[in-house]
Amino acid sequence: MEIVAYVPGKVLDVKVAVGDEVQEDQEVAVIESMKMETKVYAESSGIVAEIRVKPGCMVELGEVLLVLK
Amino acid sequence: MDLWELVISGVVMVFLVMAVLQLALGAVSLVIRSVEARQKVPAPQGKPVERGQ
Amino acid sequence: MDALRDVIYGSGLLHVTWGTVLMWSAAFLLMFLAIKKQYEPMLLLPIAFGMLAANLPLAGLMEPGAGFLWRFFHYGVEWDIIPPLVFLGIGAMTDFGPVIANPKTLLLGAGAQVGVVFTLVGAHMLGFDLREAAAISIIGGADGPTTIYVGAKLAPSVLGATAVAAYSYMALVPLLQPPVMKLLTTKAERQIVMRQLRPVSKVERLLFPLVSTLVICLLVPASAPLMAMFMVGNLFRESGVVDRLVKSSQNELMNIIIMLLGLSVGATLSAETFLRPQVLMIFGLGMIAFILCTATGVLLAKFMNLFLKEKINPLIGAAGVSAVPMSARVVHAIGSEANRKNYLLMHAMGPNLAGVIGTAVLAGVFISVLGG
Repeated sequence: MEIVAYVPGKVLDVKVAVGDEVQEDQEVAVIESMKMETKVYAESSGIVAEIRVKPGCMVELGEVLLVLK
Repeated sequence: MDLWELVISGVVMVFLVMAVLQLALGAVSLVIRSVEARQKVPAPQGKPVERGQ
Repeated sequence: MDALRDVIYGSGLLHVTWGTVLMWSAAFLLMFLAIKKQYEPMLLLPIAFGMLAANLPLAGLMEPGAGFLWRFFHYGVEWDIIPPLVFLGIGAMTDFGPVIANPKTLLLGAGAQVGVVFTLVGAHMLGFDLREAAAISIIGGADGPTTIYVGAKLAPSVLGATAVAAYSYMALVPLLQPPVMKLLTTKAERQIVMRQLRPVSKVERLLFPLVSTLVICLLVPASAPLMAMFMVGNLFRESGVVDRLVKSSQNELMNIIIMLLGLSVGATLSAETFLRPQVLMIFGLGMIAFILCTATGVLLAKFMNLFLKEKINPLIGAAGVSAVPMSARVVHAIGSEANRKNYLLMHAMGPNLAGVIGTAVLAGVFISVLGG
């Protein structure tokens, strides 16, 4: 399943790596939007298969951040 | 000028403007989407239909 | 020797009163808040200095007809040039996507303005005349230029105080709004997840300012100076073909205009106008206005939910208090606190921006009814 950005902005931090196991509601990334740090949480549990962004890159609303298996 | 006339015209006008704006935008979106839909339809009709393949 | 005596007597030092010193302290306090606490520094710092400048005896910066700052105030603010230009800049910086994607938020922008009307009644009952009450209650709209515009048109005597109150409370939104929001909503309501906003096409973005200009300016012509400029700025932005104009509007124009606005508005705050008990009442009413507007915004959202299949999170109603994007951030934070799966920031931007329009429309009604 894909974890998308629900706010547009700049990715500040990605808290997991490919292969990590994540739990539901675990913080996986931080995006800065409207000068506010917004935390991105996993919507379900799984294993990180892909990370499509890295700190510093800009994301649009709806852009995929991570893919979980 | 009566206070209540000011109150009522204030509330009424703000909601009226927003409602009209909402309707206008909704109508415009509808028109845009139907125009876009119509532009997509002609393409499939251009291809010949092959039967019995 | 006469010349030396004239210079000494011409010095303002002899005319400094306790009132003057008090005003300096107030100006220094505002500067502290702006610089150290970073309360809306772009406006509060010039306003604070304007306040200082107005209280330099014999400097004559606000001398009617002759003072340097007086000229900016008279020709810039009283002649309605500066506030509309501020809106031009704001329009050029605004992305109306969240409003276009969910036009219901326009009603939420209206809902928050009801608090202004309640404050109007309260202010009038406390003794302010209708024009002053209108200029004071519009603080609740959380819109600096609109507050200044209404003040200049209806009640210049309270203009400076309302501007200071408006910008101060905008900075205090993270303190003022949450208690109200939590009081009026249940945990379950705060947990309502809102589905991702639909994408908005370029055509829609272009048509929005045009449709809005027609609707708003035809229905409430008195709001046209602000709204027409707001929308033309937005049109420049969305057209994509006048990048130079957009950049200038967002940067050079805004920066210059804001400096002049702050300085000239602050300069109206002489000791005579500021050191009156009414000013304390204005500050009190301003806070009440913010609180009431938050409440009416949230309550309207709850009311709308009774008729909606896809419920909105009532918290976003609070963003109708158009401190952009402060209230949207507050809504997001409280929504996230209730439910981590909720990302209300963009949803809250809808009412946030709609509130800017709402405040300007209400301002237009006040002006046309009370006669500017």
